[in-house]
Amino acid sequence: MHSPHHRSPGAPPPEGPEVLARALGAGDEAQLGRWYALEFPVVRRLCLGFLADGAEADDAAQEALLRLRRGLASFDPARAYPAWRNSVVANLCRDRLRQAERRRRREQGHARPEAQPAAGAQRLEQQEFEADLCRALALLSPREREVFVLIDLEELEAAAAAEQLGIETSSLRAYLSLARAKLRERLRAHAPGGLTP
Amino acid sequence: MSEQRNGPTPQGAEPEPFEGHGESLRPSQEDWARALRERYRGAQPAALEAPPAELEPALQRWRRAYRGGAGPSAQQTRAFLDAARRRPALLPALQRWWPALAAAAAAALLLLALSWMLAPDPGAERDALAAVERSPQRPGDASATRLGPGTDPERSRPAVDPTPAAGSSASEPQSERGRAQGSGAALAARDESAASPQGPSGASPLAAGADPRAPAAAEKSIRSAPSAFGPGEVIDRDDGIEFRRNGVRIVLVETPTPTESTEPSLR
Repeated sequence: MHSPHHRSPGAPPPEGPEVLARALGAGDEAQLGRWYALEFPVVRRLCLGFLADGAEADDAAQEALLRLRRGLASFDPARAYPAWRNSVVANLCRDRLRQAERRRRREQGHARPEAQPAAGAQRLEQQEFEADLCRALALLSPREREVFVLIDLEELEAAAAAEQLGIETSSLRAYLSLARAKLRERLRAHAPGGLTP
Repeated sequence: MSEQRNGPTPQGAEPEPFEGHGESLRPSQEDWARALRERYRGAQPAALEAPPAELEPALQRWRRAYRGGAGPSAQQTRAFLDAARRRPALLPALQRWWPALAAAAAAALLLLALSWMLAPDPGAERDALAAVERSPQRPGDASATRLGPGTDPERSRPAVDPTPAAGSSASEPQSERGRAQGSGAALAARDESAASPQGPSGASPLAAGADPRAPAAAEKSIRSAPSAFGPGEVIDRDDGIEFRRNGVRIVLVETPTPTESTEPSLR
């Protein structure tokens, strides 16, 4: 990662989300738009993975980014920014899952309307991919989903993922093993003629 | 347990690795535990298993879907920027004004406490008035007219409202001073310090010309005030009754009112 102190003239600004976040935390409001544009895809895909719901992920991403923005003022600079961000998003998604569960119990029998597909073939294809991913993730428990997302989709190290989720590495291994087993079962069940290696 | 598991370990022999359940454990349990501890202490955390090969194609697809999400739409960006720049209204206001709010609340509480502490005891006042009403009356005294037979002194205590009491009673005894001609009896209670020589127009004989500085001429008797009044005096006068307490003089006088009411009222 380039340091902002060694910027070459004419080169695009090398600020990543972490640098922008620290600037925002220091009160530089001008970085808000750029920070948001860089962080939205990351936060949104985390929400998608944790919630297994595209429409929910859009709302949750906005909420998570607002929460992150407000938390930046008190963010400990000694802490790794991505780990902090992922923890905030994971916590928010857990809250939302709990709320959704309560709502579901209250409104049992009322089907949730399907999200309207956006225009554009590419967008539609992406939505189909996402829907497939969400169907797979929906088989997992919230904790298994978190572990699977951080390890197999975000490709984080076990120790980092365990720290961000606030669990032991041994638990993380167990959850990951369960998640993979469930997904393998699903693939076996859906593959015509069984799973091909 | 087998002798093999619990048996002594040869001196200097390396404990054999633990193979797991179902395998024989040749070293003694103690040595075995020590070996296990040493192994764990020196062990690096094992790397996570790679995903099973049969899961790999699906994983690739899911990763593509997972990472292929587009950036925020213009609408999402606008909504976020609006929300992020809009400060929560209540919290900063509270943060700014909480000292003033706290001071105001404390002052209000203090005032409330003070007013409660300094307020006269309504029970004592009621008791005093009831005692005055029960005090011996002279025949023909105005106070006899004032309440009438069967009047509850609790109910007929002077009210602050200066409006004459409504209603009249034809059976009310008439006083010798000829106030029965459709005139009602009214009580005027006033503080000496507050009473002007003229007083309210037509309100009382005191106001109508009686010299407030020489009330002794009208005094008929002085007796001790009821205990509820404390260190005061009750003086019967021709035109009513007077209380003296702590330098404050309260005169209850009967006065004809222009109303048709014959009920006693306090002004």
